Amino acid sequence: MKQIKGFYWKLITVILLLFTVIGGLLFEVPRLNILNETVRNLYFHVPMWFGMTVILGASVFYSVKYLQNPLSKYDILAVECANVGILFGILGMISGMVWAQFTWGSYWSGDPKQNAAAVGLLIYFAYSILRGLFQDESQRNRISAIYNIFAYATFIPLIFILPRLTDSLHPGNGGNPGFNAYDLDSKLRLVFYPAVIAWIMLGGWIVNVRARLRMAQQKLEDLDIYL
Amino acid sequence: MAWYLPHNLSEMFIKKLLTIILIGISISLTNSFDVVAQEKYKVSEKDYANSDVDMADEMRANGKIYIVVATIVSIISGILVYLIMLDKKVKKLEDLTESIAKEKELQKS
Repeated sequence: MKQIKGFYWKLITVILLLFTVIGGLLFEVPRLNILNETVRNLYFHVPMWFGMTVILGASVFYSVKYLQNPLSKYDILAVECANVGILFGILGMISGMVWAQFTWGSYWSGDPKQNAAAVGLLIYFAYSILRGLFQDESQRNRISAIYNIFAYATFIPLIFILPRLTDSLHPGNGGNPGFNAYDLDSKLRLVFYPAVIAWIMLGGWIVNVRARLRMAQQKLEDLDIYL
Repeated sequence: MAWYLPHNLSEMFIKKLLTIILIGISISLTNSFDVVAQEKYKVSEKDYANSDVDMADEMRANGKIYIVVATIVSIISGILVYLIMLDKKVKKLEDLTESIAKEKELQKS
């Protein structure tokens, strides 16, 4: 299986992802009021945000690497990580809105975490736009790397710390009596942890393919071959 | 090795250590926020047996849930196969790029 780079971890991704879907739909879940069968969204909606956080973290890692050592491969990796992070964020937002409609009563209830996540996504949209503004490549890479670090440093408190300090509909935030923080039990964890790992790895895989494509393109351009 | 030569710690090692400590602190902080914020509801065996709450029991009893599973599994597999094919294509392009680069190198010398 030399045709695929990193065959084994990609195989594990496939297995974990299929386990997530099958186990997530078929395994026993607790019967809880309001949530009912939608508690299964835990395996699909929540990992989107976990995946987004990890992949955006990787993006910052490569941005720092780029600032230490300005190689274009670090810039490519940082950008592709950010793109996949944004994708996960949008998917998490959409899935969260659908879930909210059936558990909280409306698609958008101005929940602190929803609003903060929206602001966070806007910060990252600005990152993509910012990159498009520069003519000079090294200037673009450097400034966007610095922006990326600040964006992440704003984003994490915005979605993980600030909503916890006020009342929020999200589990684990504030003192909301209608929707308690559920302490996951072993049966939920059995699927939840593999699900988180599976979605993060899938994100990593997409980053891997896209970044390799762009690196190959870059290399060809360096050889004066334009596709 | 670093632990018996503390004066000789490389800069990289200190950086890594600091990163790990900071990550640890932030994780423990977020957990303590949870505790301060509210008491957690512990999911227990009782919740699994609570038949007052509506669930898709009928769908499971008559086996229609397997149709949903089959649909989603086929869609996910299809997307994964697509991703694998894309991966292989990129690999081919990488190999091609590599060989072109080598050729150019040879031409120069």
